Amino acid sequence: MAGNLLLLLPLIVLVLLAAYVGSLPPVFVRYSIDRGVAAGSLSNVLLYTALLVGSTAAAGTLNFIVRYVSAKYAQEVVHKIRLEAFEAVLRKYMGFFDRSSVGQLISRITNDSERVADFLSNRLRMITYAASLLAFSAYNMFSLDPSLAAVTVGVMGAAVVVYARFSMIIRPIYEMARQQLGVLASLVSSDLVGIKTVKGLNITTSEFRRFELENDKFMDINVRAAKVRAVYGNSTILIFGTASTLVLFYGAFAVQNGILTVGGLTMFLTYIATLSRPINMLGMSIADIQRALASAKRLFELLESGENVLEKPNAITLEKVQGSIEFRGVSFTYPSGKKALKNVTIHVKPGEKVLIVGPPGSGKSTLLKLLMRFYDPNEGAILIDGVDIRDLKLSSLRRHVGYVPQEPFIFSGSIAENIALGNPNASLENIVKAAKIAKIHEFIASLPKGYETLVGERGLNLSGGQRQRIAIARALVRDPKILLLDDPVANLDAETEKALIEDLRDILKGRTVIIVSQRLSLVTLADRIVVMDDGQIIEEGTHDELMRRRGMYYRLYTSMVRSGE
Amino acid sequence: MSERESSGKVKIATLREVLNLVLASKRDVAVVAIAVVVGSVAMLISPYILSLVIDEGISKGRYEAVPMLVGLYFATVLLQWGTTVVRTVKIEVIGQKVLKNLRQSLFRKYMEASLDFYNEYQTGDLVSRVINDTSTVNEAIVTGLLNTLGDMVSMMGSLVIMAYLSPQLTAVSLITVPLMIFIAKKLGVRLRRTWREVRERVSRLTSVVEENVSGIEVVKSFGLEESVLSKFDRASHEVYRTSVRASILAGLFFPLMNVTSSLSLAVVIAYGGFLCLNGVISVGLLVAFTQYVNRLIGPINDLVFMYDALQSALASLDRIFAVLKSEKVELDEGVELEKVRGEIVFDHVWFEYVPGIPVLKDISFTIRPGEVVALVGHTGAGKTTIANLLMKFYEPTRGRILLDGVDIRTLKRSNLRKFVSYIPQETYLFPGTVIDNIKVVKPDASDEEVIEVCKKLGIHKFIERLPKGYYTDVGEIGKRLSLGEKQLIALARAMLKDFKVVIFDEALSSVDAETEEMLRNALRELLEGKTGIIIAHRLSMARDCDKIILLSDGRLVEYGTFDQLVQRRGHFYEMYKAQIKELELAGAQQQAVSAGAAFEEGKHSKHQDLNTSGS
Repeated sequence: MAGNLLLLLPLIVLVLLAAYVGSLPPVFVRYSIDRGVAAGSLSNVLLYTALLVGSTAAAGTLNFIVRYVSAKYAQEVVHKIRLEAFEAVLRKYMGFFDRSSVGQLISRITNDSERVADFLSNRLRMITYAASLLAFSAYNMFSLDPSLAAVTVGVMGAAVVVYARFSMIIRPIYEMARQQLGVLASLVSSDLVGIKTVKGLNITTSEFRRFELENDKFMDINVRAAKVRAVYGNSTILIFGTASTLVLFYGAFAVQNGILTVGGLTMFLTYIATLSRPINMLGMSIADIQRALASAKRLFELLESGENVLEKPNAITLEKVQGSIEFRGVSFTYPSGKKALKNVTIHVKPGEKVLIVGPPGSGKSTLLKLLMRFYDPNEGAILIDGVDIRDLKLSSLRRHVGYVPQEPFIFSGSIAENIALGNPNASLENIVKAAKIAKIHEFIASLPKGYETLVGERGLNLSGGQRQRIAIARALVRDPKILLLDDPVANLDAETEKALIEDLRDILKGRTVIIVSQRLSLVTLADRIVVMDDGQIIEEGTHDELMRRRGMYYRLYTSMVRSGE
Repeated sequence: MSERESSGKVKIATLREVLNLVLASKRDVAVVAIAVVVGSVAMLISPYILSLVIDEGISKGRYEAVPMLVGLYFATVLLQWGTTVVRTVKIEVIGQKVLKNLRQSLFRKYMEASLDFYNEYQTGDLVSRVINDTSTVNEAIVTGLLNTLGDMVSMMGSLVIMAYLSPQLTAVSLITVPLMIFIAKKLGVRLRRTWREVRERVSRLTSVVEENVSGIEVVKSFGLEESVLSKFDRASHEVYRTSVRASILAGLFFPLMNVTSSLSLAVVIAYGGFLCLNGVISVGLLVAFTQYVNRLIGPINDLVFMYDALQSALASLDRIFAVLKSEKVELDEGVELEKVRGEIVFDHVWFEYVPGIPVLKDISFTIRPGEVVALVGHTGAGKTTIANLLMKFYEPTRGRILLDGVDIRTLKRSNLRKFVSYIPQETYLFPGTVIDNIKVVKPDASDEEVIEVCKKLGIHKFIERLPKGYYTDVGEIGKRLSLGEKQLIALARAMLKDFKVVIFDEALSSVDAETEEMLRNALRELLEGKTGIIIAHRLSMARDCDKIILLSDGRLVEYGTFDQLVQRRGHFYEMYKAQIKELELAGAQQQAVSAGAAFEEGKHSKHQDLNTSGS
């Protein structure tokens, strides 16, 4: 920071110098008329016009340096802030993401940092430059004719106020327009994505009417913005026109009385003409101060808020694991206040396959999320090979535990890249091997571009089953000892479900596995079944044991078989 | 580039269409024209008045004329202000109207298009045509062009007056114009493009954030923080570099523009001073010229920008009209039926998506009013195609489909779809609340009506459990709703309106066993008096249907009641047996046996309906 401050000082000096030089051209216009044309000296005319061009060029050069240095400095600072903000976000607990929407975070990281950058690199410079330019110009005017100067400067001050106001009035309207445009875009895209539903339910006409309505609203907002812009934006003409009129009127009599020369009068008129742009900028930049400060405040809040997943300083790395898992009296309540687990104890032996079933909201998935340290339990502990996972390095934990979420996220990029996410050092050979185990290789190989096929937002659309398999391949590419599957069949149709379950048998071989599911079709894969309800374990045992107990499992199972008939 | 050149002729035609849209607001265009002319005259008179104040009032000492002249000067200021305000508002109104109409026409096209159309374009691309391309067209072509025309009128006016006042001085003051154009073209256009590039880089940075926040579970579970961060670092650094490049260009461009304009001022003063000294022109005229020269060269910059913007706007215009001109639309014409009973007949229907590759081969069957039929078969057997044809998304290559004896080819599409509804497998929820999503088929339905349908379906309790019940925003909880739960909402939606024929295309494929059983019972009641076609892979759904149609490789292979098909011991029986087996565990074979016994029981308990005409 000290180095930055050292940079700031010469920068301010340069801005002041640029403003001083920038205030000179109207003075040279005055001299070229008074000392040149009026005095009948062509050499003076040439001298002062040369100075006029020279001073503009000098001011331009100074401005260039200032602009370049301040932009570089500001962009550097913002690049750093942006990076820190994004890093801070990535390190947060899942609870943070449950609370914040993607849009909000994007707005923090990109828009807010952009606004701060713009303020630091442009606005601050403009305010300093325009304000000092005004000051120097005012000095030149006052030294020539105080009363005329008072009128001119007064009018310019009014213009600054009008522009700041304009900027503040128009901004919420633009914001409204932006939001309404978002409404239109989401309406169009949702109708297109769901076009078969729209046509299948015969609602094209009512959807068109809905669009028409929002479209009209959007037009009205834009027209409103146009009106404000027309009245305020063009106020320069009125304000500076009035200033010129007053200068002309009093100036003429000042010339008559010998107080002012024709050149002096021209100087005032030139100032009025050339200062209108810096004045606009000054007004708008002043209006921006508050917004930039608010953006900076939000950014710093993000940086300084806690909620980070903490790694102990003496965290250890496990080179190899056996794969035993133990939940020891684990209780957990989500940050939102939802109680998810109540004193849960489970012991999973190395190589054992456990299926956890239970109704939605019974806390099944939470178990997996705690094991991944997306959250930390409020009470109790989770151990792998007898080591509390909070004592492990995060990287070590995640190397040994593979997690396949319910709705696997596919990143835009190639299929190979998506699989290699699990292990950036994976060779194509490793990727293909993982894809083969996940039984997705044949499909990928059948694509014209094979593993280089682009998927994600702008790429190939994958079906639920294909996504699930790519996610499994992604988990397998690092060959984890422990595999966690969060309802792998939840979003699959029956045919795909059947095929996946068949293939999972091979995939799970030699690993400790916890599968969470609402469906009992996965029973065939499990050595042991845990039944959960309301955050507690209510039954535990093999299929046969549980069937004999005639408890909740028995009820779930018979209802499934009945519907299968 | 080649595309741009090859479609040059199209552009003139499309430009003409835009022009027609502009001219549709005749009165506004007339007002703009008047405002431009009056405003330009006022703007051009004011420097002349200034010269009169100096020459007549000050130089010649006729100070009594000054108040009148200054008054006139102020009048021109007021006139300029007034006309500019009117002009700005009116141009914007015209532009916004054109925009609105373009957006509306595009959306209408999207609603009317045939399914082929949506296969041709990507959703994002179509959305961008409505949102981005229309704005580009407005900025560059509608408001841009109108403003440019206004600027050109005042430029031409300045030139004429200047030439009239002093031809020599005018000639000299034009010297800097080529320099101005050169700078605007070389630097200005590049600056604008760099700004655009900055925006693109920022949006790329945004998508890095968006993607990784959306996929945060994956990022965390694989410990990808470092690699994601370095990706972000690179993207952020690109923004940094492009922004700095933009400020270098801006730092060069704006001062150079200033230098050029002060150069023109200097040239006018120097040469004008020389002429003044020689008595060719007066001091007042010289001062007036300093003002005229600003008005002449000021808009040059904007004109060059406009020229550049026009290039990209023409491309946007092409994209808009390419869609508007697309002929892949569903024509909505034909006869209309008042009421239907719901009888459906497929009469030797063949269908090919790609010529030469039939996906439906000689399909014939009859579904009587009020019957519920299951359409089963493996993936790719042609089940969804049957639904597509019945909805008139496509038309049969050969054969006929009859609704109450009327060939649907002759029916108006909107009329057909008033009676026949289709619920696709890919459940789609619209942005809005749960109740909005259900009401979408019947916007005037009351909340009570919706709740009643949900109660009948047995999903009322499920909805009540959502954070805000029926008023839960599905976007906010979209992530937390399972596919099965979304399907339940979609089901309620289809049942709210009184369709006569309902097609469920795997619409319950993702609900769990318990819910499915509950819904099967509820559906029977809700489908009372309606014709239902249930496309299902899980044969459990077929059990309760009146008839079952089994498709295989585009052909109808078996048709009959559940019991008949089981008795036949054909394909259906094999499939059914296989599915039951899947559910059984190794070592739990008693259940398979008892399930087998259940077939036998079912056979006897169900009344025999020996209508096997279709098989």
